[in-house]
Amino acid sequence: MSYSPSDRRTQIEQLYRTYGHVVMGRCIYLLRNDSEAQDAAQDVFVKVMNSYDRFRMESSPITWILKIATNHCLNVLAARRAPWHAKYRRHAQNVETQRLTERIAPERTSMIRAMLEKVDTETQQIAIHYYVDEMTQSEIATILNRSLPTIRKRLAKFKRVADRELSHDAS
Amino acid sequence: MTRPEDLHGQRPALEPDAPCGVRLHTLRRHLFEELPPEESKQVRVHVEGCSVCGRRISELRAQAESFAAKVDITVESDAILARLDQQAFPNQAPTHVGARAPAHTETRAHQAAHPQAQAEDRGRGQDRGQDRGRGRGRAIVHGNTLVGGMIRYAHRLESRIALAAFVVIALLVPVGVAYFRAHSESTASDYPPPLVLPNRMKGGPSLEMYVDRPQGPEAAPDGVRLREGDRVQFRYKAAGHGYLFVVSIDARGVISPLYPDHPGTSLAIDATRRKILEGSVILDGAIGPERFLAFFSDQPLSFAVLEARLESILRQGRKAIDAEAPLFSPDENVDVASILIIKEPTK
Repeated sequence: MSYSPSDRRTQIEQLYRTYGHVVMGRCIYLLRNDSEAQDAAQDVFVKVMNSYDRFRMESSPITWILKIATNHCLNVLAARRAPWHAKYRRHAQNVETQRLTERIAPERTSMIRAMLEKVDTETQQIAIHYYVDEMTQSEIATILNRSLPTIRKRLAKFKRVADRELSHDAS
Repeated sequence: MTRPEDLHGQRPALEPDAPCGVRLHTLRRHLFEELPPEESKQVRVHVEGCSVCGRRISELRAQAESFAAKVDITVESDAILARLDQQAFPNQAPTHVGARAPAHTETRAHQAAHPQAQAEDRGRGQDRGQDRGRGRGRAIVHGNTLVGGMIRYAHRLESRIALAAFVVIALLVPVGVAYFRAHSESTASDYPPPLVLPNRMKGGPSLEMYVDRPQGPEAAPDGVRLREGDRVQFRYKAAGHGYLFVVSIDARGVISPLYPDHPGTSLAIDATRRKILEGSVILDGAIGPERFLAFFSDQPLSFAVLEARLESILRQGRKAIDAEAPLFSPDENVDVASILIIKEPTK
């Protein structure tokens, strides 16, 4: 379906007004940089607009948008993988700036973020949806088009890694 | 409700913070009025009697209000519209992958020859500051092809680092899974050596290249030396994969989508037969090595993903490359085939 420029502007404004805080929250949470987060959030909305017809058909648009935003930010992070580890460690130890999503469980979300670099991209995404967004495993399986056992396996892997890291930090 | 296991014999540090059983995502969906009426009613009743959920709902609302107060929706919408417009290129002008001249020089030449592209570039220029030097490219169509109409798109990456080292990519195939490996070596000309590793695995997916010659198509082996203006075409064998994305990386590190010819998602392909990709690619004047990479996957891949991962390899330099950093995890089931060419100046 094609849309006129005025249609598109209206759609974008509505989308941003409704979901902007969620997308920005996810981008800031993962990228830890306001300007990069703003840039990434715009990219996310471009992706949403490119799939606008699909977006309208989604039974849970917020779930879908969280998936797109998470995936995009993880790709941005993958592009600068080298500084990832040190940067995340630094931020995990210095959590005085609690913003947006982190108000809800700052210690846990910071801890999750610090663990992300230890696992592959798909596990990162699953861990964020499970621990930060608190989606159910079946919700995650649905939006990522993966089986429930796969989600469980990935979460178990993440927990093993987290367990090892926490034990290491404690010792 | 599924909960993660206790990691330390006490309240798990990573456990989702839903002590009453109502998850944050459920509360969020409730706020966005996405829950079925019955479930929404249950949540509403629960929130009224649960201090934890009441607090979380208040926090979610506060986040939304705080954001709305701080952000200029019009400015953000303009920026998003500009990015969307940037993607919607008119398919008019021929172009090439990479360029010998600096980007701005070639852009001027390109604009002079193609006023429509000039207008398009003007529009894009407004957004360039937000593009962080990624140099979103131009879309191009070339009407003269080997098989049919050729569609080309050049995705430009402004030079960020001097490529004193460059990359040679290899495939690692543990248990049938392709890995991406690159190798960097400084030379007097800043160009990588020709590929010395095999570009395909036996029985796996493959990418073949043919050059248009007066006497007919000629198979181009890996490491072949070609010239600006040469027209090449690709044939692939998917070996069971349903999607294909072909990109090129030239000597300056410019990553360009070729099939499809825009930064979208993989093409759906015939998974069982060896087939020729429609259209052809005309080589530009960017002298030096250029690698064509074919990503075979079971799910569509986005150009953004490929670009990000390729850039991550390019940026990490030799150390990371020697560590054999994979482009894709085994579970992603993406196979990569590649062909290296060395572009020489036209006589």
